[in-house]
Amino acid sequence: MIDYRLIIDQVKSGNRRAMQQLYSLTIRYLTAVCQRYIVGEDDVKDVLQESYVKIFMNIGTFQQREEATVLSWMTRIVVNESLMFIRQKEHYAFIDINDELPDCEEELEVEEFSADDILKAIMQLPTGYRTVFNLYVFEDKSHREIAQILGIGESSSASQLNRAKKMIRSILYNNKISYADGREMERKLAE
Amino acid sequence: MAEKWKENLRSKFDGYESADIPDGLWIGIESRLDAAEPVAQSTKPKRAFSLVWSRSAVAVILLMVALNCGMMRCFYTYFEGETDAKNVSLASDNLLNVEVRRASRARVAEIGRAEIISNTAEDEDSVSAEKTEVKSVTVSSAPSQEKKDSVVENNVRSEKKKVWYVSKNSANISKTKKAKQKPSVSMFVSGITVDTDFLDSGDYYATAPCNSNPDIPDKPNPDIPKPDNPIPDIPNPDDGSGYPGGWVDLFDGGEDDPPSDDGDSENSDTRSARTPIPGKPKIDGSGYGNTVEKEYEEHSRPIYFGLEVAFPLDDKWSFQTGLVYSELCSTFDKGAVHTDQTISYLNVPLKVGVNLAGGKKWDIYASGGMMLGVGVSGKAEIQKRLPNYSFERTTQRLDGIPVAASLVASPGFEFRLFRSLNAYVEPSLMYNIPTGRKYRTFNTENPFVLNFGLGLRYKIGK
Repeated sequence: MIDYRLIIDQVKSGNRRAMQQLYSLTIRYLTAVCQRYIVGEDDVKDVLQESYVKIFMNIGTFQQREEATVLSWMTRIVVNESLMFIRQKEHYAFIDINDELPDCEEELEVEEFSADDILKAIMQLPTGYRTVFNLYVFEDKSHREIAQILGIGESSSASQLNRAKKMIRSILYNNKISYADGREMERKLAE
Repeated sequence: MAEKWKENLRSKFDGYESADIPDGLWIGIESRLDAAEPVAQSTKPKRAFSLVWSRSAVAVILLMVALNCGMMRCFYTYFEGETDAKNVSLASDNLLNVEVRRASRARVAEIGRAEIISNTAEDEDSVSAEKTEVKSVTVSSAPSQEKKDSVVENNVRSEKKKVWYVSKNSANISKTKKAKQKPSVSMFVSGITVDTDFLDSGDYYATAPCNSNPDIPDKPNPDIPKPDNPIPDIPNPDDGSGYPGGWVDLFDGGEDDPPSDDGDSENSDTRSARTPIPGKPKIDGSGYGNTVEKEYEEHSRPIYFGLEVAFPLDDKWSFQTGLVYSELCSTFDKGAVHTDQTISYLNVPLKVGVNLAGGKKWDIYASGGMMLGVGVSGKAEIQKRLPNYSFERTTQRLDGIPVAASLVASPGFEFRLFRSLNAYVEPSLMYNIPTGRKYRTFNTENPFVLNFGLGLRYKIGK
C-alpha cells in the first residue's frame, strides 16, 4: 500500500518532483477511469491534463484522513472533468428517451470476461449509454442523481442503463460489433 | 441480488490500470502548472523565532507565572486584610473604601463608632489614621444585619490565629499591627569585600610580573661572559647610583651574603634575605642570568550575584533563601609556571531575618544564617615559560571542588523606590567555614570577610 501522505505533503509545498511522482503513481488508474467515459486518445489526454492541473492546483485544500481518500478524490475530479467534457463537446450525447421500457432485471454476467474486454465493450457504447452506465455502476449513483447530473429524466436514465447492459452483453459475447455498429443498434432499439 | 452484477463489475475494475498512458501528458501538465499561479503551493510564513526558542520562551514564561501565582497563593492567606476586604465589599458600598476595610479588620463593623474611638487611645500609632477615618465613616446606608454578621463571621474564621477580635459587647478594639510583611524577591550583587587580615602585620604576597626588577636581565646576553661570581652586578645604593626605592636582596644565604651592617645601621637596605621586609615582595634568588624563582599567590575578591526570596513567618520574622552565584579567581606564580584559577560556586543561603524598625518608606532589619555552596565549575589556565622563552599554555579542569559553607550575619537598610520595589544596602560579616584547602581561594585564605551588598527587592502582593 502506497503511503500517499508524504507525497501529498510534498506536493502541497510545491515540490515538482513530488508532483511527478504522484502523477506516475496514479496516471494508469486515472487513465482507465477516463477511458470509461471518453473515447479517443486525444480527448482522454486533454481531460487528464485538465484533471491533473486541477488536482495540483487544489491539493492544498485536500485533507487526507484515510489511505485511499486521495485516490478517490482524484478519481472524482477526473470523472467530473470527463462529464464536463462530454457536456461541452457532445451535446447530443444524452438522448432523453421517453419510452417506458421496463427495467432490465437480468444481471450482466461478467465473471468470465476480463476487465480489458469489459472496458473495450464499454468504450464501444454510445456516449449517453456509456455515461449512464458508468455513473450507475462505478460512481454508484441513483437514477435520480444521474438524471440531475445529465439533465435527463429518471426513466430515461433507467432505460439507457438497460440498453447499455444489453449492448455490453452483446459485445462481450459477440465481440464483433464496432462502435459504429453499436450506434446503429442504438438507433434500431430506439425505433 | 439485482445489484450483484454491479458489485461484481466494480470489483473487477478495483485497482484496474490502463496498460497505455497518453504520450507527453506530463510535459503538458508541467507547462500548464508553470503558466498557472501557484495556488496550491502554501508558503509558510517565516518564523521570527525558531519553534524551539518560541516553545522554550513560552515554557519559561508559564513557569514564572505559575511560580508567581503559587507564591502569591501560598501567602495570600497571611493577608487577612485581603480576605477582609473581600468580605467587607459584600456588605455595603460604605465598606468598600480602604479605610473601612482596615476598620473591619479590627471588627469595627460590629461596634458602634463612639465605643471604638474611645477605646483606641491605647492602640499603636499606626492605627491612628484608621481611627480618624473610622470616625468619619457612617453606615448610613448600612447593609442588612445578616450581611454584616456574615462579614464578621468570615473575618473571625480567617483571623483566629493572628488578630485579637472584638466581641459584640466589648469596647476593646483589636490591636491592629503595623502593616504585615509581604513575601519578596530580591536581586542583589555584592562584591566590595574587605578581608580582615589587613590588620595583621605579617607578610603578604603581592602579584608582580616576572623580572620586574629592571636590573635583572630577562635573558642572558651571550656576548657577556658569565662571571665566576653568580652575583649580579647591582649598584651599591651607597654610592648614589642605586636605583630608587632601595634594592632587594637577591641572596638566600651562604658565603656570598652581602657584608653585614658595619655600623651604618641607618641604612635599612642592607638586610639579610632571611628577614623579609614588610611590604616588600619576597623573592627567592637563584642566580645570575636566569629568571629568579618567585612564589606569588593572589586571590581576587569574590563577587556574588544572587536572587533571594523572603517568606514572612510573622510580622517581624522572615525566612530567606535563594540562589547566589559566586566566582573566585586566584593567581599563582611559582618559578616558570603561572596559573590563573577560576572556581564558580552556586550557593544557597538559609537565613532568618527580622525587622528592627521602619517607617513608611524605609526599614532597618537584620538577618543571619548560613550559606552552602557547591562548586559548579573550576578551571586552571597554566602558562609555563619554556627554556627558549616561549610559553606553553594549557587549561586544566578542576575536579572535586570542596563544598563551601559560611556563616553570615548582616544588618540592612531598605528604602522604597516605587510602589512595590525597594532598594537595599546590606553589609554582612561572613565567616568561611574551613571545608578543605584542596584549592586555595580567597575564602579559604580569609576566614572572616566583610561584604557589602546592594540590591533591589520586589514585594509581592498588595
